[in-house]
Amino acid sequence: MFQYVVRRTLGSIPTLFVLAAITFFMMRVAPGDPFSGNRRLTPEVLANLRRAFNLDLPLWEQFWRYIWGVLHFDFGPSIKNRDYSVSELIGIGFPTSLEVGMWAMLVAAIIGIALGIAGALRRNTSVDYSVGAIAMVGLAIPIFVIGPVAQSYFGLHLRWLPISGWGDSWTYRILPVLTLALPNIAYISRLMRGSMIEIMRTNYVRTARAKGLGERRTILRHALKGALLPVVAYLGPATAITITGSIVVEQIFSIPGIGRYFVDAAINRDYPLVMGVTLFYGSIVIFANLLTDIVRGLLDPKVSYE
Amino acid sequence: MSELAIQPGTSEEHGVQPGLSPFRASLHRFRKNRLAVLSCWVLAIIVLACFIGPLLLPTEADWDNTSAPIDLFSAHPFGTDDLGRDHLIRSLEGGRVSLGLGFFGAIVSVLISVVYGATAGYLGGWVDNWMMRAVDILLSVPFMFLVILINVGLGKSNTSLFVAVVITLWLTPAVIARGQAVSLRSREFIEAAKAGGMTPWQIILQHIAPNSVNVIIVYSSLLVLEIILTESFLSFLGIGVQAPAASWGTLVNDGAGRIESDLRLLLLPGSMLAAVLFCLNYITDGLRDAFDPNER
Repeated sequence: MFQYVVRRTLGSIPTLFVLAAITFFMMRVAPGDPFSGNRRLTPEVLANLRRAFNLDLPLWEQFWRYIWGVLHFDFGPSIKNRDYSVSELIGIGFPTSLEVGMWAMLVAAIIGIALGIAGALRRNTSVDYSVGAIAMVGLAIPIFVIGPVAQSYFGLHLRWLPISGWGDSWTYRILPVLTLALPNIAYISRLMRGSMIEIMRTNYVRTARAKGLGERRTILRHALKGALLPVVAYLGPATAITITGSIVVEQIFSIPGIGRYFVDAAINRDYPLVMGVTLFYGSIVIFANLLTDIVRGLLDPKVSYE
Repeated sequence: MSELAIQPGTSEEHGVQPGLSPFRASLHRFRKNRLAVLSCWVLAIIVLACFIGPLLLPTEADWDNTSAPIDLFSAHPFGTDDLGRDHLIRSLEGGRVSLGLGFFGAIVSVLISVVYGATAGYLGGWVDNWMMRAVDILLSVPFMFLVILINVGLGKSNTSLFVAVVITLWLTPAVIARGQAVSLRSREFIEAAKAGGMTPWQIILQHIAPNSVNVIIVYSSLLVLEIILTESFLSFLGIGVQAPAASWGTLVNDGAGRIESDLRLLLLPGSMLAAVLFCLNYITDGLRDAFDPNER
C-alpha cells in the first residue's frame, strides 16, 4: 500500500514534466511575446523588460531556469499583474475556486447518488424516466448555455438570486455551484443507476433479504457500499470536469477565482502565470486520480495495488 | 467483417434473422432503437439546414431592419441583431462551423487513432510499450488546458482550433483500437497474410485497421459530440472561432453578454447546440447498445 502510493507519486513526475514542457514550448511557438502588443515602449525599454524577465536567453535555458525555480517552489513573477508573484495570485484566487469546486462536487455527489438510487429502485417507472431526462439535460446542455439562462431567469426575471459577483452571502453561491455541478450530477446518476441495478441482482443482496432484513437496511447497509464503487472510481474524472467547468463558470458569474486568470494569461502571453496555473491544476487532477485509486482499493478487496 | 463468425442462436434471441454478419446485425439492432433513429433524422435536418439554409437566404446585413423583433411572417422570422444581421441565418452559419469541425475532426481523429492503435497493437513489444506510454502520459494531462494552450500557441485561427482538438481527442480511441489490434494479431487470417508475404505495414493498413472500425464506431459519435462541445467551449471563452466568423459558442457568448436586453441572442444558438448534443447523446447510447458486445 505504502509502496504503491510512493510509486504512483513518483510516476506522476514525468507526467508533470511533460505537461510543463508542452505548456512552455506551446506558449513560445506563436510569434510575439508579452510586450509585443505595446506600441508605446521604445526599443531600449523593450530590451530591458525582456532582459528583466529572462526572455532574451535561449529557449532551453529559459526552460531549465523555470524548472529549477519550480523545484524550489518558485513559480516566478506574473508579467501582466505587476508586483504579484504567480504563487501570490494563486494564493489569492484559489480559496474562492476551491469553495465553488468543492461545493459543486459535494452537491453533484449527493444529488447524483440519490437520483441514481431512485432510478434503479423504481426501474422503468415515471421516476426512472425523469431521472434519465435530468441526466440527459445535464449531458446535452453545456454549462455555458445553462449558466446565462439561469442567470437571466433567477437573477433578472424572478430577482431571487444575485445575477453575478461574489459576496459573503450564500445566495451568491447557489447559481454557480448548481451550474458547475450539473454535468457531474448527470454522469454520477447514470453510473449509480447502472451499478445499483446490477448490485440488486447479486447473491449477497438476495441473502440479506432472505434473512429477513428490511428493504431500507438492505439497501443502505449492503447494496449501497458495492454500488458506490463506480462512483468512487469516477472521482478523478469528476475533478477534471469541475476544474474545466470552473474556467467558464468563473467567467459567467464574475467569480474572482483562478480559472479566469488562465484564459486571460494565455491570451496575454503571461508565460509564468499560464505555467503556474497549468501545473497547479495539473497536479490537482493527478492527485485526485491517485486518491481515487487508493480509495477504490480500500473499498474493493478485488482491486490489488500492483 | 465476415471473419467474426457469429455463434448460432445468439442473433435469433434478438429477433434478427440468422445468417447476418455481426455488423449488419448490430445495424439492425440500432434501427430498432426509435429514439436513436429519431435523433439521426433530427440531426440530419439540422445539418442540412445549416449547410443549405445560408445559401438560399440573403446573408448580407439588413441595415433598414436593425434589432427587429421576432415575427414569424416577416423577412426575418427570428429578428435581427443591432447590426442588422438575421439571427436565424447567423445561427445556421455558426452551426456550419461547429458541425463541420465536429464531423471532420472526428473523421481525422478516428483515422489517426486507428492507424496508431493498430500499429502499436500489431507490432507489440517495446514499440507498443513506448507508444502506449506516450498516450498514457498525454491522457493524464487535463485535456482542456492542452487544447487552450495549443490553440493559443498556434495563433487562434480555425486551423489551429482544429489541430488542437484533434491532437487531444484521438487518444482514447487509440487505446480502444490497440486493444482490438492485440486480439486480432494472432488470428488465422493474419497468419495467412504473413505467409502470403504481406509486409507488417500492409497488414496493419489492410487487415488490422479495417477490422477495428467495428469497435471504434461506437466511440466516433461520442467524438463528434466532444469536439463540438470543446469547440463551443473555447469559442465561448473567446479563444476559439474568431470574429467575423461565428460558431454556436461565439454566438452563445454574444448572447450571454446581453441577457438584459435580448434573450433570443442566447436562446437560438444555445438551443440549436443543445438539440445537436441531445441527438448525438441518444445516437451514442443507441450505437453502444447495438454494437458493444459487452452490453448485449
